[in-house]
Amino acid sequence: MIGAVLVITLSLVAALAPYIAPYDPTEMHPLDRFSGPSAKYLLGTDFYGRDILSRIIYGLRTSLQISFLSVLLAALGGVSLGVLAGYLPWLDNLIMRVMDVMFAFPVLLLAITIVAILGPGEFSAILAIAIVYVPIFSRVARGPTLAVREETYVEAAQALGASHWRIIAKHVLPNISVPILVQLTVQLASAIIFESALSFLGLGTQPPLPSLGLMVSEGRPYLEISPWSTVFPGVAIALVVLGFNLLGDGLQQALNPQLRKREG
Amino acid sequence: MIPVLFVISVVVFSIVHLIPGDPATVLLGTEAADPSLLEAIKQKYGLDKPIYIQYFLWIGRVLHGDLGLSVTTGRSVSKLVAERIPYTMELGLYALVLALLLAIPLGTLAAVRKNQVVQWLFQAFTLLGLSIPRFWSGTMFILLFSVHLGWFTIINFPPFIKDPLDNLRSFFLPAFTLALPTAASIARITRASVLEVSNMDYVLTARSKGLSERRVVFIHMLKNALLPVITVTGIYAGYLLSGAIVVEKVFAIPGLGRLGVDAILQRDYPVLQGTVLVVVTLFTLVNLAVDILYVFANPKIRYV
Repeated sequence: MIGAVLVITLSLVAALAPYIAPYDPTEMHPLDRFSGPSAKYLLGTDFYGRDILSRIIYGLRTSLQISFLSVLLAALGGVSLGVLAGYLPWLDNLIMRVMDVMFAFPVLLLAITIVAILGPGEFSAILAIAIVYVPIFSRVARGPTLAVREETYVEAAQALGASHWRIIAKHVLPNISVPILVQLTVQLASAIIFESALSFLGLGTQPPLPSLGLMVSEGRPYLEISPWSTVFPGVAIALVVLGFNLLGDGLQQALNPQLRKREG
Repeated sequence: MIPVLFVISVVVFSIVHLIPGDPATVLLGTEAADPSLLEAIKQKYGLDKPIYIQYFLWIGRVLHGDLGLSVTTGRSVSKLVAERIPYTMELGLYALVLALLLAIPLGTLAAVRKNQVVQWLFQAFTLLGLSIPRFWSGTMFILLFSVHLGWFTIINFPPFIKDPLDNLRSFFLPAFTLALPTAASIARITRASVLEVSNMDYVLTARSKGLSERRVVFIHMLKNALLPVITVTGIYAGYLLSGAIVVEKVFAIPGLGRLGVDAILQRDYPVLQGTVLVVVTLFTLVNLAVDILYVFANPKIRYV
């Protein structure tokens, strides 16, 4: 419950950023550099005198947009490949071997390599995270598809002359949607950390656009004089990731009665 | 293992060819303006030959330990990479040890003690561990323990052989930062695994023959519960290599991850190629080691 509330609140804040943020996130106030939290600047200002709260609100927007898009892309690609692999035995080997090779790369290194080829930026970050997550979704989709394929109702549908597409859409997908839904939430949490890590390394969102990971790295040289510009963006990342993690745990417990019994 | 390494080598080889622009220009970096130099590099690396011949020329050099020259410093990439491997290896191993030392006792405790406070603390630890990004926790640790309390210096990282204690001390904060999310994940799996085992008949038998609770938990339950933990530890050992990239940046450790990230930012593609190749090979070796360890730990599996 807390997870859902956190996720919904923070998503609303991000969606309504232009109406909520007290200042323009890139507007500089040269006279108010490094000011601490005050009534004028609720969370203080950074090196250029930019309002930290406004930058966090817009940064949250950037982080959530990139994470949603990349996880959505990964799910579309991964689930399609996983269902195909599970449903069509002759494709199974080929698809799963390709996924194995992708698993052979450490995730961040694979993403960094993709960013190196495409050049740093938001688009590269989205594509890099999406590609890295494809094998995860394909595995999650393949397992249950294999099981569903053996069910009698699929056999019945085949006997009635239903096409492969109809069987996949009407019988396979509804039956594998629960584990995929849980995986979506879990991957969203990890995509937010991933995106902020890429931006922190200077490979994701580029300045002067606000991104939570970038803010942490921009604030680091001034850690001793003004910790605010590093501390608050990190708290924001932790809160939003915590929200998705709690939501994921909650979904898992609600949708899996076995787990509920064991925990209780 | 060998096929995987082969595919990896093809992927790494392709990096230079996938980057927009002529590979010779990519390899030369900014000095590409000089046409005679371009010609020389094309001759040297056989870039005028068909692509599959180029691959065999390249892999031949790689197998002889020649990873090319850095565009920015002109130094041998093999030497650059070799200098940095010990830092990343030590950071990763140290973090793995810390993660296991935290995770297994905490996970077991949370499974055995049903007390509300223990459960609540365990949930808080694992959720926070999974939700806080390493680059931020590391920065906060520097702010708290280094800047304010002065407990750790993080300026230099002396070699282990010279002064082991000093070395372990200066690597502690980075290793701890790297270990936290991993510890949270492993602790959750340990708890689930111990809970699963605690319903088994042999645990009931052990209890009913009047063995002490300590003996039941440590000998009968943990020994069986740790099998899945070993499997995931292998996966997480690989993830630690990913995490090390970020942690090295935070603590300014001259390891492989920093080498790779700096190479991208400076467009030093030979260095990037060399780093990716070495890290992925390390990653594959770690996974192989875990598979072997698993066979020893689980008497049910025997590959003949």
